[in-house]
Amino acid sequence: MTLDSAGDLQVDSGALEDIARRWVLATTVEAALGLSERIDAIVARLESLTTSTTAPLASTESRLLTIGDALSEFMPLPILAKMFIGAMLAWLRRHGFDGPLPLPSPSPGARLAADLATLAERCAATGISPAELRDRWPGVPPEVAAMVRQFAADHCGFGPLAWEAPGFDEPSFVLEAMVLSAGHLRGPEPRQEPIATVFNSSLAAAVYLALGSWIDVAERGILMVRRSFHISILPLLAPTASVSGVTPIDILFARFDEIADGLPSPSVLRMRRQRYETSTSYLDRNGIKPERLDHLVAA
Amino acid sequence: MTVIKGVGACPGKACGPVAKLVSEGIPTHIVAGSILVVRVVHPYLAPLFPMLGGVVVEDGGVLQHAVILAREFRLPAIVGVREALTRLIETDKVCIDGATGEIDILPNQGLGPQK
Repeated sequence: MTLDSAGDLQVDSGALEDIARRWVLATTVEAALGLSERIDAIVARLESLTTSTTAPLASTESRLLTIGDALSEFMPLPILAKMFIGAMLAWLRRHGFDGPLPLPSPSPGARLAADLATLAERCAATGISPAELRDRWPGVPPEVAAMVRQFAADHCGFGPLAWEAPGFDEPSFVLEAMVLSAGHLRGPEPRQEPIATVFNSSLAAAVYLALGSWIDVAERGILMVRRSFHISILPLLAPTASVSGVTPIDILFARFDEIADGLPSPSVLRMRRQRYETSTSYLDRNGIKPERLDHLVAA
Repeated sequence: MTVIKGVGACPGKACGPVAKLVSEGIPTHIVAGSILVVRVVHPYLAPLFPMLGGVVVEDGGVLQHAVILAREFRLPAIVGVREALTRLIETDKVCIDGATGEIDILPNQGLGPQK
C-alpha cells in the first residue's frame, strides 16, 4: 500500500479482494447492511453537539472528545468502502454475476441536484433571476435570503474533498451553481424497473447485498466528513480558543490529541498556518482563497 | 481523426466541446452540451450533470460517483481514460460512446477556447 504524489492511496487489488472476501465471510450480511444505520447514528451524535455553542470549558472538552471518538469510528468506513467495492464487484463478476449493480437511487448527489432545482424554482417565483441573486447577494429580499441560507445549512456537507474548501455551505457557492446550471437544473431520471437478479450461490447474494451497503458508504463519505466539520467542529472553535489563549483559526492547526492533552505554543500553530497558507498548489487546486478560514470562523 | 479508448461506464453517444476540470469548485467555464473531462467527480458537481453532454473520467472505478450520477441522469460516461486531462484540450470537440468507451477527437473545426 503506497501513497502517491497526488495523495491517492494505491493498493494491491489482488490483496484487497482477498481481504474483502474474508471480511464478507467473517461478518454477517446484517453487519454490512447496518453500515448506513451506523453512519446515521454517528451523524446524529455529532448533530446533537451543536445545541449550544457557548458551553463552559468542561462541556467543550467533553464535546471535542465525543467528536474525536465519532470521527475515529467513522473515518475508516469511506476509506474501506473505496477499497472494498471494486474488489467485491470483481469477485461477483468472476463468479458469474452479470446483473444490475446495486447503485443508490437517488444518490446523495442526485438529491442535491433535485433540491437545488426546487430552490431555483422558488427563487424564480420571486421574480429575481439567479444572476441577479448572485450579483445582489446579500442584498436580496429577506425571504429569498432565508431560503438560500437554509439550503446552505441543509447541504453543508457537499463540496470538494478538502473539508475547509468552499462548498454548498456558502450561499455564494449555492448561487454560483444556480447561475451556471440555470435552465438545466433537475433531479435524476425516474428509476427504471429493476431487472430480476439471479445469484448462483448464497455467498454471491450476500456479497451483492454487502456491496450495496458499501457503495452507500462510499457515496456519503466526503459528504459526511465535511458535514461533521461544519456542524460539530466549527461551533467549538471559539469557545476552545478563548480558554486556550489562541485564535479560533489557530485551533484548526492543532491535532485532536493536542486539543485534549495540551495545545502547542501559539507560535507553533501559527507556523503550521503559515505553511498551509503558502501551499499555493493545494489551495489553488481546491479553490481556497486566502480569506477562506477567516470567513469560515466568522460564519 | 484521433481515437482514445477508455472503459464504457454508461451507454449513449454525445458530441460536444471539451470542458476540463482541473481544480475544485463551481466550474464557470462549462457550456451546455460540454463533455466534462475530469480526474474524479465528487457528488457536489451533480447539479451540473443535466447540462452536460457526457463525462470522461481519468479514474478507472466503475462504481465511482461519476458513474452513479451519469446513470441517474442518463449521460454517456467513459472512465479509466489515462491522462485524459493532458490528451484532450479545451479547443477540442469530441464524440464519445459510453458503450464502447471510445472518444473520437474531431478535426479542428475552428472552435475557439471555451469561456
